Formats: sequence, structure tokens, C-alpha cells
Amino acid sequence: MTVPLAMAPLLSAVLGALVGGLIVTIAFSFVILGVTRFEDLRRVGRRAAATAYGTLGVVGALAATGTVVYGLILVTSK
Amino acid sequence: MGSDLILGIVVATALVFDFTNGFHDTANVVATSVSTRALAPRTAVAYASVLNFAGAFISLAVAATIASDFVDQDAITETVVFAGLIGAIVWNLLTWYFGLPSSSSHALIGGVVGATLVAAGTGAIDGTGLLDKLIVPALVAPVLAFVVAALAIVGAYRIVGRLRPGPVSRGFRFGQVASGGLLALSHGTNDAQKTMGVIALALVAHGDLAQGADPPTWVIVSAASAIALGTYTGGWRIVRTMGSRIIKMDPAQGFAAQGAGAAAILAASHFGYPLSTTHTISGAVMGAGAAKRLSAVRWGVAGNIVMAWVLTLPAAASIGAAVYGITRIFGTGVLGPLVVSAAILVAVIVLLARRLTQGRAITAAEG
Repeated sequence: MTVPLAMAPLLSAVLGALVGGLIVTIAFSFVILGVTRFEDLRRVGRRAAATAYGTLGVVGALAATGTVVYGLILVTSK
Repeated sequence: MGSDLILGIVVATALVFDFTNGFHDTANVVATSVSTRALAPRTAVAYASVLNFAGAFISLAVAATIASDFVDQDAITETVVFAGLIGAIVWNLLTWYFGLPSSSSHALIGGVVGATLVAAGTGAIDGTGLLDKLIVPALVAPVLAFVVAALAIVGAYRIVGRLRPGPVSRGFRFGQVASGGLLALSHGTNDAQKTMGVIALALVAHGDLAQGADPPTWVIVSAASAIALGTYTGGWRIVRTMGSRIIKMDPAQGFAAQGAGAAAILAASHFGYPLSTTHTISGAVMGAGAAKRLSAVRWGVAGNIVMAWVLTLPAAASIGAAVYGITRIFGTGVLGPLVVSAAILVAVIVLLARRLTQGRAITAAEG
């Protein structure tokens, strides 16, 4: 299916907003899950599981921050 | 000399319009952060004001669209831009007075298009530009923000749903400091640029700016300052009335709504689409609410948005066209804009006085 030339930027904007908006909220949810579970598991001495959740939290934070920074770089670079 | 005076009146009118845009939109930008207690009202207002200012410097794509994609720059005069601005201001005042929904952004573009139509005919209007860069994005953006917020909050609830509510609320409240800031920043990238685009049009007409050139720095700084000052000033009224007006939502919903709204507005700013930021933010708030409970959403707001879509562009265009016609009765000099400005000033004072004596609450037009 071909997309009319004028519609191509709109579709890119829709896709960018969809992906960006979803990644930020989902990734931040993983940050909260990771941090909360990390604290709970560390308190009961389950270090391996705590470390895994801590890593999940860090990866989530990097994904959320990275998406925002990438989005802002895209907007400012035009 | 006369032409310089008209340009001065146009720039001042555009900045007043920008100020009122910020004033109206404070509630949209800060309400979510304040309702979930992520930020204290005064902090939220000051924070939004600073980020609105910063956002105006991020991109110039929307300003370029306003200046070049809707009307033929060769057909534009300072009086056309003036009539367009007055068309938008009068429509915003009328909708404010009668409590009708409106969109400041659509009113601004409608006003300029209407005045251009009367001044230079249909050949000076870029119908394709209007359809591709204004009308279609205006329909898509609120729906997009609704869908993104709804999907995001469903995903978030699935991830954190089994955790204790305390840490989840604290976490999302903390996150809202960033998502609220991003929303204010995105608001600055789209709304402040509309004024920059209109001033750029006037500068092109006056011969001070080449067609297709970016607005000069003083235009960017003054537009950023006007919207930031409007946001800050509007905030004090919001602080007083916040308790009764806003929709209650949990911090996760607030985060999802702000993230979705900011993503939609920033993506639109990147591609130069001038959106109604209020409609987009409203769509995101409704999406985050609908995903949890359909009855939690004020569906009347959706009806208001549809009504604003239908009414604002043609109404503001008609007023812009009429104002241009009235201005031309006084010739092509400065007399027309001066007479119209004085008449508008008197009308505003009379409307304000009537409103205050009636004791009715002042409600903001949507921007």
C-alpha cells in the first residue's frame, strides 16, 4: 500500500508518539516494579532475586530516560 | 512611519494573544500534577512557566508552518495579519463570554485565513496545506493521545498491579515531576511558535524578513516570554480554584496522561503541525481515565472538543474577514487598525465589567 507523500510525516508523527508515549510509561512502570521488589527481597535476604529486580529497575530507568532524551534530540535537531 | 506603527500594533496584539494563550492553558498543563499531589500548586505553576519558556526555543517547525503553509506570503500585508489576530481574539472573547468551547490555535489560523481570503481571494489560500497540516492533525492528535494514554495505563497496571499501592503511588508521583515538566516543555514547543509564525508573517509583509527565513531572535524571546508570563499569571487563579475543577486521577494515570500528551505534542512540533494542545491533553486525560473506568470520564468534554472543531475555524475566519473589511473602510493606513484596536479595547472592558457585575465565574477558553 502506498502512502500519499503528505501523509507520510503524519504517520511518522503518529508512530513516534505511540512508541515514545508507550515506552516511557511502560519502562517507568518497570522501574517502580524493580525498585519495590529489590527493597522487599533485599530485606528478606534473597540477594540474587533482589539483584535481578534491581537490574530490571536500572534498565527501565535507562529506557525511559533514553526515550525522552532521544525524542528531545530529534525535535531540536530539525 | 504609518507602516511601522501598524507593525508595532500587530506585534503587540500577537504578544497579547500569546499571553492569553499561556493564561488559558495553565490549568491543562499543571492540573494533572496538582490533582495527584505530585507538585504543590505554586511550584507546578512556576515550573510549567519556566519550561514553557524553554520549550519555545526547542524548535521552529510550527512557526514555519504558520508563516508559509496556509497562506501565500506575497498576498499578506500587516493589516491582513492584524485582522486575523483580531478575528482570533474576538472569537476567543465571544466563546469565553457565552461559555462555548473554543481553540485558540484554530482561531488564530482561522482568523488569518479569513482575512487573507477577503484581501487576496481564494488563490492566496493553500487548501492542501490547511488540510494536511491543520485539519487532519487536529482530528488525529486527541484520538492518538487518548489511545496512547489508554494503552500505557493498561500496561502500567499490569506491571505494577500486584505491588503494594504505597510505593507505586510514590513512584509515579515522583515520575510526574518529569512527565509534567515534559508536558509543559512540549506546550511551549507548539503554542509559543504559533505567535512567532504570525509575527514572522507580519515581518515578511513589512519587508523586514525574507520569505522562508526563521523568525529573528527577538521574536522567539518575546513570544517565549509572553506565553511563560501568561502561564505564570494564569496560575495564580488556578491555584485558588484548583480544588473544585480538576478530574481526580491516581498518580499512574497522571503519569500516563502526561507522557502521552507530551509525546503527541512533541511529535507534532517536530513535523511542524500546529495542534490544539488543550484538545490533545484532554484526549490523553480521557484515555487514562477510560482505561480504568468508562464512567470516570467526562464525555461532555469530548463533545465540546468536537463542537470546537466544527465551529472555531469558520467562525474565526468570518470574523477575521469582517475585521479586514472594516479596517479597509479607513483606507490602507494606520487609522483602520487604530480604530479597530480602540473598539476591541472598549468591548473587552464592557464585557469584563458585565461579567464581574453578574458575579459569574470566569472560565478559560480552550487553547
